[in-house]
Amino acid sequence: MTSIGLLQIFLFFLIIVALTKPAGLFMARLFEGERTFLHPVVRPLERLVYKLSGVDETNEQHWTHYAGSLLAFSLAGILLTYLILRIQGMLPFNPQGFLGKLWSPDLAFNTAVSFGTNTNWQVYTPEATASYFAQMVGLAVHNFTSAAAGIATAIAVVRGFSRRSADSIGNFWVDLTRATLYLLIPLSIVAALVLVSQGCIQNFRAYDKVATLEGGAQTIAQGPTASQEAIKMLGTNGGGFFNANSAHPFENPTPFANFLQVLFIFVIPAGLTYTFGKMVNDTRQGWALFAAMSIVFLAGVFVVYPAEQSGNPNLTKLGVEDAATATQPGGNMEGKEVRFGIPASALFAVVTTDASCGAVNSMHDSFTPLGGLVPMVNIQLGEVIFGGVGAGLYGMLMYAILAVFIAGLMVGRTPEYLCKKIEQKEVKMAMLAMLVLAASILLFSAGGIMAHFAKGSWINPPGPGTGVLTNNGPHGLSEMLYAYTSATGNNGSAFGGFSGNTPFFNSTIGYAMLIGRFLMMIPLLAAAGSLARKKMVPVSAGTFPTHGPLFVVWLVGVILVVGALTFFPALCLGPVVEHFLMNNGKLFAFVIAGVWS
Amino acid sequence: MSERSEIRMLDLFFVVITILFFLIAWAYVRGCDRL
Repeated sequence: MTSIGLLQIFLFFLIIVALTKPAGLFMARLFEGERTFLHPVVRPLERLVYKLSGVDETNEQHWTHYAGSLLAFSLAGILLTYLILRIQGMLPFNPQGFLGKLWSPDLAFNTAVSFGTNTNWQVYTPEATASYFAQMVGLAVHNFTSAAAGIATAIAVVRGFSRRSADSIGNFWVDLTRATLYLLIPLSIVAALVLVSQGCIQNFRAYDKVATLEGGAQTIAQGPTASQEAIKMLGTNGGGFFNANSAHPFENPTPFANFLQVLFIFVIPAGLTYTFGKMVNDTRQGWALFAAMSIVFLAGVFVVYPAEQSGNPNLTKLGVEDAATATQPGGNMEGKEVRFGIPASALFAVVTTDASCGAVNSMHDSFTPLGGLVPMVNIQLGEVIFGGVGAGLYGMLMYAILAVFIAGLMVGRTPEYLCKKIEQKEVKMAMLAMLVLAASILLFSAGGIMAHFAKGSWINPPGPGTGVLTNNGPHGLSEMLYAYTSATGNNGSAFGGFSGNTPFFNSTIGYAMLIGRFLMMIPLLAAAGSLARKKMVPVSAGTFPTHGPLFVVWLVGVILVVGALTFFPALCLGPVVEHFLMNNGKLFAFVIAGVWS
Repeated sequence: MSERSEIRMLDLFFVVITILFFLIAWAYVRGCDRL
């Protein structure tokens, strides 16, 4: 590891620590209905939205109505996006004349679901298939609304802890509107302007055709990139305007832009931990969650960074110089941008998978086995390490419920969390959310690996399902496992080496995204509804303090043990065995090329 | 079946399975409420 790399990582973390309180305080005031500095400008607009949509902002909802509103809103958004993609040829802002037939029904389904669930799994090539209208209205709007829906759900879950003897957990439409108008839109405007200052493009021109120095012709894709890029990071969406995502110079032009982009990913999820503490009237509780998240985050960074900086021992044996010097980054630079180097790529990979962002500035498929293991594990843990906007907080609260429950079992007391008794209902709901995540990832991955398609089948080319993988052996297993992990976790990053644009994979990955999003959110809203109805119990000598270092360590332990127990066997067959085989000189390369075994 | 009507059938299929998921999710909401 280099000193400049370490400096970059610690500077990033320090800025996140510094931003957590102001961001969290603002969100706490916003969702508690207090006045913020944006009210003079935004409040009239907010009132107009309620008037036009017929929403009564004073009307609070029972958790089932809250969940019903979330489902209805998401369904409408997904169907609208499906329609936009399929008829994009008839819509404006399409200088390249992209037709709707570029989107097969299964691809349109996969993409509409992907953006409606905040996943942004992209099996299509945006600059070759999507009009500017489709990108802006079909996809980027979802970047705002799906992120706002995630924040709304997290706030509703927090209200479950903060309210006593209440039947309601807020109003979904009000939370959604406030998250969008006061938080995501203003932040995105500022972030987009900063990215433009770094060279991120923003235009509506047709693509440029230029002659290369060799005399060939090249098409340079254009478009309204900065506006999509800002919310892509802030809303932890991750869907790139271009196929290369944040490795593309128009999306991520400079190392400074890259540094800002990783900050954008974490700023809202980190702030929400403080919001949580503020709303439950004990900011120490929020900092405890922040500390637990930070421990796992830093552990991840300091596995990936050394693994990537160490490089591939087989290349070292062949005499390849892999030490970092003043003129070369050293280590494993395969699949990484020379502009960013190893530390910025390692940091980006960890941050984007800790959160449910899924933007990438390097190919995770080209990481060393241990470097690729960490992003996959981050998603499999439920993306609770700061996590997606909102999703990280409610996921972490799910683990907190389990942690106090297990601690209660050990000492034989009814567990309590934030002066609320954690009883059968809450534990059942937390376990349901946990099982849904694991079942979707493991069963779909197993199905994809075992599937075999007959000749003439329309759902997939004939042959085994593994035919969509570029590599064989454990690396191929990692590619399949990562695809369904990313989809279920609503991350959307691609490991790479997986070309599953077929009806079978588009449909199953689409369903994995829906399951991972809604079947996890619903039990947590149910737990919130149950908690909100409860009375507060006074703190006694036997109460397990949940704001101290013991709880933080316990919570981290529960997260790691539950994650390890669930996914350890699959990971052993994938990146873990690949790591040991690599150290014994065996690599798994292109199936087609067959250069190595 | 012509290619055009086949594609329309596929459109209908994907719209239906999307709506079906959300109906299942609503039943899941009711189930979680009773559990």
